[in-house]
Amino acid sequence: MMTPFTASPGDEGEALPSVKPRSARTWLAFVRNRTGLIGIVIFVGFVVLGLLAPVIAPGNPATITMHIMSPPTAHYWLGTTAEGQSVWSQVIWGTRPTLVIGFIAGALTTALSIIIGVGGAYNGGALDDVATMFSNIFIVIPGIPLMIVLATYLHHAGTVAMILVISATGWPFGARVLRSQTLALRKRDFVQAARLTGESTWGIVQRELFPNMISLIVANFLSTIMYAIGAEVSLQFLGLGNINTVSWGSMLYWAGNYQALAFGAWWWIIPPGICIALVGGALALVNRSIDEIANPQLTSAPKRGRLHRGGTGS
Amino acid sequence: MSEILSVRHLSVTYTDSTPTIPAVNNVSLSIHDREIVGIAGESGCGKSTLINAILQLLPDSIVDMEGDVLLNGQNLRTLDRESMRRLRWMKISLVPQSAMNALNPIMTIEEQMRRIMEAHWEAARPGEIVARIDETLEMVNIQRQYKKLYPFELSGGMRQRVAIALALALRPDVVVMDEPTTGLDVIVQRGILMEIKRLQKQLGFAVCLVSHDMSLLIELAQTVYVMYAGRIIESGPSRDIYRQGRHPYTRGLIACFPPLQGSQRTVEGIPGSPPDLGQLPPGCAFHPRCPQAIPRCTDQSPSLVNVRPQHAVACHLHTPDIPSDLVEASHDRA
Amino acid sequence: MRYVRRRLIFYLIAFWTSITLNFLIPRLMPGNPAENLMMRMHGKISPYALKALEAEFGVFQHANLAVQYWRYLIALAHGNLGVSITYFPIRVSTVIGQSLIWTLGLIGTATIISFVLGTWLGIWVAWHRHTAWDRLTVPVAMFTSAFPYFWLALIVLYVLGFVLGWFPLSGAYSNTLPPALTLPSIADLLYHAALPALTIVVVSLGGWILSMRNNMIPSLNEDYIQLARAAGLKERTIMYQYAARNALLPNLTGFAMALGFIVAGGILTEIVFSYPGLGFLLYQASSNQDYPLLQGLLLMISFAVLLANFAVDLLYGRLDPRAARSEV
Repeated sequence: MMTPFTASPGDEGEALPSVKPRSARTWLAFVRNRTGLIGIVIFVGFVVLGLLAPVIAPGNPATITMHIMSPPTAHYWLGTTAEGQSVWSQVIWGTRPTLVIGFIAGALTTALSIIIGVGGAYNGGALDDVATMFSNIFIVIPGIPLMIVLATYLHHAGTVAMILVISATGWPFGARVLRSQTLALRKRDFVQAARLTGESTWGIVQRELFPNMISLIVANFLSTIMYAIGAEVSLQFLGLGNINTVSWGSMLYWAGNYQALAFGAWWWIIPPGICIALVGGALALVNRSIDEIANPQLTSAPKRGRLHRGGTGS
Repeated sequence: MSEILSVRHLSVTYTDSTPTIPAVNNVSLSIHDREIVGIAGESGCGKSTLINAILQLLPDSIVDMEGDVLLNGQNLRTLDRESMRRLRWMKISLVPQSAMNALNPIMTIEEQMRRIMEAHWEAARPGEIVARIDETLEMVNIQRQYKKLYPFELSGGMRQRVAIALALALRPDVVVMDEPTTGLDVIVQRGILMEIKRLQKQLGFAVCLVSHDMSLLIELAQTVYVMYAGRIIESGPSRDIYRQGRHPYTRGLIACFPPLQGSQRTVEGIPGSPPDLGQLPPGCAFHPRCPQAIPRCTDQSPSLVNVRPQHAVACHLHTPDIPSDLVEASHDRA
Repeated sequence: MRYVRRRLIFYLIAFWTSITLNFLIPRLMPGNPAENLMMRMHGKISPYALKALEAEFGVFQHANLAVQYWRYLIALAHGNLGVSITYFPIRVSTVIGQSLIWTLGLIGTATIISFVLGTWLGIWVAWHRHTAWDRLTVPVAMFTSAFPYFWLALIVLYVLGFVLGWFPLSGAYSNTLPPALTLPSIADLLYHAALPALTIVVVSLGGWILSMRNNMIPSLNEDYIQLARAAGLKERTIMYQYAARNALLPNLTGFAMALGFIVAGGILTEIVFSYPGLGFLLYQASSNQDYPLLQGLLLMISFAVLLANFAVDLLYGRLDPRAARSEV
């Protein structure tokens, strides 16, 4: 990042730019960043929707009624399914399992990525070689087909099985990114200094590494949630998840099973898909704003290049 | 000697930040045929902005520019894009600061030279271009077979020679050199500087040499301009600047570097660091670091005044209404 | 050459890992799925076929894991993937062979179209990054890449196939026109592939646009770009030969990751369109608990993805002179 150091007069007065956490400023920047704010609002909106499901759509969303395949009406805002269930109610309640699985699988996957990526890079040597090798291999082995096979063996994977399957295939992406960041940080002065002063490995990881990796870990966590939701919804759509709980994926499974589109029941198909895309898009927006804060030139605002810089000159 | 490049009252302000940054402030300079002119200053003094402004490389969307840049009497600021593009490298070229990053990493040396030449010699036959590439590389002492290599396969010194060869490929009238030896070891630096001097004699181009290294400028350049915080604070023949530099900053810069030749001297530094161009101190921008600052320096900005023919300085210590004994005293201390 | 050799060794190890995974999965699953399968198949298939299944899954065999693994590798070396249960008594390798061409044609072509188009759009918006186009493209690309493939497939199928009736609803060719190398037949094949290909391109395009844009923008600030400008090169030359050529390299590196997702999306798309490729077959195998076919497909899909990645790595080696000397 730094231009080659040149011994110009007056340099002694300048300190190296600090890489220590500046959480207060980062958060402020985050709120100011419109992209991130929109993403957070949408995402939090869905979390609230899930939490308030009993208030917004009281009653059991799986309740069967006589009004089958009804288009949207004043009573059924989003119409009904082939079994007369309210699509509105199902979409609202479906937020819960979708987000819960996304969250838990995302957290577990991120934890695996940290253990393998950071652990390998920090310890170095043969351990790192093996960890890197495995990450690289599992990145190129396609995850979803593997998941389909595993889920088939597990006969309609339940929530736990689904989370395990998602985490088992999702960790290498984060591991690779976190590894290279750890390697970069390990070489930095303040980490070297901490090592020399005899701080324990865990102490260094906790006090020096994590604070500097937190944005990367958060970004990785958010993309893993996206991945987990995508995987979960796909498995459920194929009927490989728990098709009896109401979730966005199982809604689409039943819609497919009852040939909803052949009956023209677009109201059954469109809402869950839009919700999935909105949650995914919101997470992507938040991730992008993290990127933009860390790397300001990615924004659309005009910026000048290195050769141009007035403030830092040559 | 006729004037070939003339910069008149040039000011550049970056408008893409708040507050806006006045990076270059009312700078005038002139370069004559076959002359080497030096521009001295620390990092952050506006040197790079000045270079980019001379080369018309600053997009209008981010800067406000005033003043004129005349090349052979032609005002570059009024040229349209295509005319400017055609003129680049044919008349004025650049040896960038870091040759390490200035070469395209995935193109051979030959291809990079060829592409630049093709952009200007539209009617040239391939044979002519190849001949010129070989000839130019030979001039900078790079063997012909190295042209097939990629930048990462060359040493730092060789990359710098390639950057010089690129700049000379079309035999321009003026070559702007931005810290052309930064990041190289002293022996290599020396070799490259000697080569620049030889080539300049051989091909007869004028050089605008920008560096923080005062001793290098004094040795190579005929005229030196000293920049601080976006302004020219002293200018004159390099001999005069070296022996009788008036501005405390100029003398500080000279004291920073031992001469390339000659006896050892104690190396002194200038305390503090250059100001942020966005937040310049009032009065003389140098006063917070100046060992000889007087009360006037904190609220009045000094203007560039001739102290002798061709030697001008912007410092209250050297403006006529300062008691002469104070000036003498400050000279003794240096 | 050293670079190629290193990459080749890496992919051989990756392939060996996926073979081993394939061997271990049925043996490690709880509830002994293979044994259940045997029970189910008893009496329905010939004793000979049953023996074959037994050998394949190591059920009722008292040989230890190492011996089983050796036998498995030998069988694989002979191209023997066992017998499909769904299509009994056709061999798994034959069943897969018939579907492979459709997947290669559909997903392969759609991926190439999407990569080329997305990369080009990424270059273009990065070059015009102060304009409204850039501000519009970024959020739209983010949103479309968040679509689940199968969902967009359903919508496209409904609107363009069902409501408007412009495209066929399923399959890869008309029943009245078996695939052949004649003009009407080729037109018919393209007609059937249009919607699934459109789905794959639309969802995967955003990722290529965004990643190319994000590689391009820092590359536009490189010193060599500034030098090229100062040297009066034409804008097109700077954009493609200087900025994009360098920015393309990290994008190719990202190809490995992206490909897995696109193939997964392609599989789901095939399922929605009943397109007779590996994905649709995988779905059938999963629904029928056709373990031999399932295992064979997993191996085949992994192999195809690894091969594609290897091809991209070779391309990378040609485009980046530094790769030849890299330690990666």
